Amino acid sequence: MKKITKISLAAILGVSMVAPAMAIDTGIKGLTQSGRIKVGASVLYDLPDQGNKAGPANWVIESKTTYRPNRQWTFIGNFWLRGDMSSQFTSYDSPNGGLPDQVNGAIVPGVGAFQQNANFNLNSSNCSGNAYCAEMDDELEVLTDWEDIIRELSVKYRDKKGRYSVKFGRFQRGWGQSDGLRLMDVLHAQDLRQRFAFTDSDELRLPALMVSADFNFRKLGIDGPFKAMGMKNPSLEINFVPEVQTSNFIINNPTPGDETSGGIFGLPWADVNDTTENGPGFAGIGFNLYDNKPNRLSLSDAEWSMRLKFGALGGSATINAFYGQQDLPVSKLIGSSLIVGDGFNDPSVGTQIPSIPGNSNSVGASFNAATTEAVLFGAGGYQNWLQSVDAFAKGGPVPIVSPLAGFGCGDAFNRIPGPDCSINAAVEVDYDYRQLMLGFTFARDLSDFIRIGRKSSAPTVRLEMSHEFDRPFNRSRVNPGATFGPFDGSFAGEVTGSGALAVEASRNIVKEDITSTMIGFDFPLWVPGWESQAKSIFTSLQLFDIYTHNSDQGLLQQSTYAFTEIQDHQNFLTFGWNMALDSERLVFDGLYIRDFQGSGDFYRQRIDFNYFGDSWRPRVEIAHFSGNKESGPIGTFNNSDYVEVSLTYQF
Amino acid sequence: MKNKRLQIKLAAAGIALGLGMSTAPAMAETNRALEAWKTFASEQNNADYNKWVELISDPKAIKLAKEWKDLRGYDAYDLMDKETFPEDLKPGLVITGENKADYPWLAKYLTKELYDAIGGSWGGIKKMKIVPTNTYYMHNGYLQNTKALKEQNINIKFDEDGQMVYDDGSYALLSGPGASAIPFINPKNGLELNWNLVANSVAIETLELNPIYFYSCTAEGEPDREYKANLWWWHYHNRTEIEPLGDIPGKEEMVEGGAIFFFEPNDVRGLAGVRQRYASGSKEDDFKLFIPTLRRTRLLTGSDSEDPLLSGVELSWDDWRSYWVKTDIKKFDYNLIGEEFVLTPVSTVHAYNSMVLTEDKCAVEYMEVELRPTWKLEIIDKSGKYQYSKRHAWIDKEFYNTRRQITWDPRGNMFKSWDEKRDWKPSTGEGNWGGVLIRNNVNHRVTTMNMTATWEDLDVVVDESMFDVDQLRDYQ
Repeated sequence: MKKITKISLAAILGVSMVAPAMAIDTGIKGLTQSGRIKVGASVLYDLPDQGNKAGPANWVIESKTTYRPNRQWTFIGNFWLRGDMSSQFTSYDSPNGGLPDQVNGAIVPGVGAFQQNANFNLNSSNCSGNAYCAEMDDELEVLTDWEDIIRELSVKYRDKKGRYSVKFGRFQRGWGQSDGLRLMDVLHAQDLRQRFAFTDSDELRLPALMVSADFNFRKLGIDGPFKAMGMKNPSLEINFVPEVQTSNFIINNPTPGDETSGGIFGLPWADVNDTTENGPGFAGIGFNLYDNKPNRLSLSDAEWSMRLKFGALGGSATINAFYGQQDLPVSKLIGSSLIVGDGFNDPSVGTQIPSIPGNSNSVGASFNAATTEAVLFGAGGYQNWLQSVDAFAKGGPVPIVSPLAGFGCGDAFNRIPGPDCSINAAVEVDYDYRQLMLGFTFARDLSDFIRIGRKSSAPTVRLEMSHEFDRPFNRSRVNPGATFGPFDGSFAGEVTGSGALAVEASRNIVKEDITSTMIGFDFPLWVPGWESQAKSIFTSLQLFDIYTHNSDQGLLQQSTYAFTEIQDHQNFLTFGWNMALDSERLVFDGLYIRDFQGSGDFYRQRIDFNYFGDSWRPRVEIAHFSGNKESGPIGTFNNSDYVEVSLTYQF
Repeated sequence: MKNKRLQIKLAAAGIALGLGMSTAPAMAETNRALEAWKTFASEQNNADYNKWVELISDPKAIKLAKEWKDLRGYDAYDLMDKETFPEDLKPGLVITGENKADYPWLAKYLTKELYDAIGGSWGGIKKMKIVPTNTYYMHNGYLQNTKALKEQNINIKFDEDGQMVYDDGSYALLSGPGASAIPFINPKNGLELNWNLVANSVAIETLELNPIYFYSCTAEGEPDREYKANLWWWHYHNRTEIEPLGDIPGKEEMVEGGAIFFFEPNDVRGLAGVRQRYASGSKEDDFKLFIPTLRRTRLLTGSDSEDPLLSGVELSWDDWRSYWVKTDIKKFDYNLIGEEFVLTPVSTVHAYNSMVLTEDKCAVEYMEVELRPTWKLEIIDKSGKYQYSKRHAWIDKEFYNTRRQITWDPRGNMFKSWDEKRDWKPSTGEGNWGGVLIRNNVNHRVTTMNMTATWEDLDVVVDESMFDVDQLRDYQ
């Protein structure tokens, strides 16, 4: 019954709406009211051996009210309620529903042996063997937290003489010149839950409680020095953001203790390996994650940013500075707990031994970080034991004795009796790092230099550069050095893969600079020979270079979820185009992204059918991802291709 | 003998147009347009007409009309005196699709394109009525500066790009009397006439349309799209009528700016555009668009101005105020190809709605027209690359604005026509807009517009924030 109620929510609101052609006429001067209701449904078409399945079915209800009683004051209230009905449509308990994500070799009724795991690592709770599983849990069904609902609630005051303006409230501001990938557009964390980063930037940014002030230097009479330097009409924007947010994303977490699932755009749960690709694995090792975030509302953790805007060299330029917080985390080892009596990391089955003397830690684990590192990676430690067992299985010598035998655990390979044991490492997912960036943007038309094409059009050039100082990274390869008892740190080997999670932060985390550059060209394309072309085709080409300093230290893309290593130069190309036909009622909008180092390709095609007046906006959206599953951000979603049909009613 | 025949013709025209010449009082207290309207209003017994008469009877209006007449050397009636008109062409005549064939001369005065629209199957005009000719004039700032050009014998010439410059080479639109004047009060060629039209601009130093509605209609005459926006225009130099006076700071190289912010429909809400024109002929317009879905400003350039302003609307960025193309003698030829009297929509919106759209906004229910003396400007695209291969604009000989316009597409087909009703304020001579009808003769789509002009507190409600897209984006 609850499900039926939720499914019906958007539909009821949709059909109950009186259908004015335009925004509601409030009859009050300066007061406007508008809104929209959008419902979409999609089909996933690239699921290996599974045919086509229903995918995300996002819906949005949005209301926007603005009031401008005079030129000094502007009030805006923008609220939206969002969700995804797909978990209802493809629920595991609905006939033939669900998105299968089974292990290779599983027998799928009516299909046969399943051979190609799509590796979404979906939430498999309530999913019995060889059955279809739930695509997602309730997390995305309705986003009802207040911060998800308030898109903007702001008041702006503008000085009568136009010298300054101040805007206060919860809202967002966009920086930079780049589309598709963000360099300097860092004022806000991102909401990556519904379509990861592959949607409109306006819907990606998480609005924040903030104060923005703009100062017109000319009107304040202080533009002289800037003019002397060739900077025309300088103005300064200062933003103070006391509400610090981190990016929202959902991990497809199949572990029994933490069932979360974001469906096809959830981040895959990392397999635990001792090498990135093909190690023997970390049998018996699990990881418990603990978030450490900056204070949500705080003066000490608040973010500051400013942007100087001016005209120069025939174009518009900005100099940007940002002192904020990282919105994505690094992982820090806290310690680990030994579970005696269960080999599958379940403390409710086995017994977790308490903190041993001298190993106090913030989560009450058996061992602190140094001891964990030594036990796991010291000579004769757990990793050595696993590797020796692996070699033995392949015809090698008898394995060494398990280091856990000293804690009373059994070791069948060495005929040592005792209970099964496992280790749960405790890892802090730490967002609490400052982010310091400087940037520069410039845009101008090139009509003084070049005119090309059927209409002798001039392209515009956009340039954006940013430099981030001391960005924290986890390393994928570290040399452990901690000591504990017999595990004396003499192990000089290199730890790779997720094993790097179990290394002290001092050796696992490094801070490096990132220098990013984007150059883009926009060009209105008039097709030669197409005499009846009524509107130019907007084309936009962008080239990105993201240079991470000292990247040869094995910097992880995003611990704990993406264990691929960052290249020193990461290069992307984007190409966007927009073409409107038939009196601009049929609109094609395309976006291509190429990830050169990750060999990933993304293409999104939107087709709008604006044939039904001002209120109804049907759209078809196709997204295609191609790349290595291990290579974020595009390859990660290799099997997440979809075709979505949506219908928006707006007023 | 010739003179006698002319006098007879003049008398006939005066009577036909309801202009009781013999009853006219001293011209210092009135003018012939006012007298014609008084007569017409009394005959029609229409409150709207009485209101209009009241507005044009304002002593300030009469004084301005006289000063402009003295400066020009004529008013509309003086020019009409020199022409013979059909007997039926007189105020009060109502024309419909059913009776238009009874008046074969109509096609000449309306142009064939508008004649066909009467009772037409697309973008049609159901009923048209002829009202007395007005005398129009621009505001006092233009009057004084145009006088100054004449009295001080200030020479305005063209540079190699065809831009207006003083003898010292400085741009006339950036300083001095030429910045707010009609530069060639008796144009001798097409380029001079073109510059008069450019100089006329929007006929007011500060303009706000709050709101402006755009209605686009399909070839079948069905409503397609509807947009609501606010629109602003600012004259940057030698301002004398509306504060800030003098020059707008920070706009030293620019002539004027236009800006727009969209409210409806929801999918374009927040779209904001600012286009500012440099005086230099070699410098592209400063043209920026804030795109709300990106929360980012896009720089537009060159041929972007040929794109439709909005989806489905038969109006490009270059068509603002009917003609906002940058003058370029390398790209275009400007020809003065004739002087014609035309029947065009009357500019009486300050008193009443003189062009009433149908309920679906796709056609005209009722349109009042008046006889106007015009120069006919032809602009030919020499490059073969522009959206219009040819443009014919009928430029008013009193007000120097576009009374009617027809363009041709690059293949030589008659393309779009433009007819507008102006909200003109007689007491000050300031102009504004009330509505526009655009008919696309190729695809038979129609765009109509309705505007509400702001007349109060223009010195306060419009400021530079409207012309900085980074501020305009937060307008509302």
